[in-house]
Amino acid sequence: MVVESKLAEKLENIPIGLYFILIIGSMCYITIYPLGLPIPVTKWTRDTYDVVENLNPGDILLIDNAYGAGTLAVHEPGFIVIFKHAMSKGAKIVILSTAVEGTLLLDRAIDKIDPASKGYEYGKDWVHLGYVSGGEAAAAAVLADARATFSVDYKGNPLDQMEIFDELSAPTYTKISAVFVQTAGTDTCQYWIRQASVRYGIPMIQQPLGMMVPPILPYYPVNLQGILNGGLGAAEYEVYAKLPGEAVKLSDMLTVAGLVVFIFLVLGNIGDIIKRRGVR
Amino acid sequence: MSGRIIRRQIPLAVTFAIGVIITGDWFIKWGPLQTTTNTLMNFQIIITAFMMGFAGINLIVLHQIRIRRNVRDKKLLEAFFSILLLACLFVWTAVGVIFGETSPTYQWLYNNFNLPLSATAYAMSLFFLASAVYRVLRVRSGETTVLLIVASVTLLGNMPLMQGIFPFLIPIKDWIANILVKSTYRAITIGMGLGGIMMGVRTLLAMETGYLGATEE
Repeated sequence: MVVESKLAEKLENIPIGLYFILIIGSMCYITIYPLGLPIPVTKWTRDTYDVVENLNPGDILLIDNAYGAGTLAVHEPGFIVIFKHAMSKGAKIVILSTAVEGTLLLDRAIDKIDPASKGYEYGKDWVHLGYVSGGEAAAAAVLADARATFSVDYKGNPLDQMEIFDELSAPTYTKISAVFVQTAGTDTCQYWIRQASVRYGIPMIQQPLGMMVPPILPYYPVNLQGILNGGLGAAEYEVYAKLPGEAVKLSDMLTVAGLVVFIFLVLGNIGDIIKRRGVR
Repeated sequence: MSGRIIRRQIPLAVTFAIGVIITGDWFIKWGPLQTTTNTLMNFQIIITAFMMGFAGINLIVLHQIRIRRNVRDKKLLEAFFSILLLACLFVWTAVGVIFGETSPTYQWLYNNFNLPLSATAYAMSLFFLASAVYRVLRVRSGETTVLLIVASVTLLGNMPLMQGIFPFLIPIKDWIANILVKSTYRAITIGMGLGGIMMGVRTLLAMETGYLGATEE
């Protein structure tokens, strides 16, 4: 009984520092030595892939990279793989940010994609319009008439001189073939669905954080045609599109860190059960 | 009387007119209505941008009061944090205004300060969550047992390795997501939507005037 009680005490009170060290250690190990674990592709991701796959040369994909530095590890791989896939389909890409930091983080992702090396010309095949404030009103205004909302791109270059901007004349929503939204805010997901999908019937795909998927699930698959489930969704997309990138490494980390959390969850409960039996 | 008209009646009339135009545009496809709606939407974009500047001024006012109070009360560390915040605000604003937000200087500041700090703050939430899971998620009653089982299945089902080892987890996880979660959130969403419609109608009809601030009746 005494041995049981001591064991229960130990299992219930494992030093939290040890727990954190195990999580950090396992993640560092995976970063240095990726395991390359198999990644099953879910229907959400396959549906997302299909929306991009169905784009024809010249179709316009509108991307709202409404993410910040906090979720960079999750959203940047998603942006890169969707951009690459859309490029492979010959689609034109229009990017804007309804989050302040989105614009500042875009150059990093574009450097990794290097569209010019694939013959993608800025201003003709893709453009970055920059930050737009106003949330839902901004989304509505851009879809109604992007030329009235933006006059310069994110670097202050006049948009009137760019070929791609001619294609965004009012009504802009008739020129857009799909919308891709990346965000850490549920409201952003929902207002894009309201403005683009419900109102104009534009195919919509989104990459929220994993924990934000439940609030947008009611819209899938009618108003929301595809969901990338956070970093894991990006990893699945990379595997499915055969465009491996950083998200695959993230997926290994997710497995190992999740496993440590699960083991501790089990140990804590074993300790709790033994303790309560002893009390009885 | 004239004060009441300016403070109350005119804002209510403006709210009603704009509400009717924006709502009408959703249902009626008419060129002039669409043009007016687009103009109003662009107004909101400009007003939102202006509000950010206003928020900056508010921050300065609030923290200069805090600095004075903390210095007076000899809480120097708290005063230092406020000074640091204002210093960052001024430096970032100055660099953005002088060099531009896409300039290498601004990007350098962002990449070397905001980015690592923001990423670290977000990453730390993992440890809080992990700690909470270990300490709180215990089998104590029927409800907590159900919560523990659902959490475990979702946690394991989200790990690619576990999906490979225990493939039966995938349909269970999908059932939880597509039946339990989706139906629950759908009910919440419909409820919120109905509440939003009621609030909108009340606001248009001047029955909801909280947004005007305190008004004497």
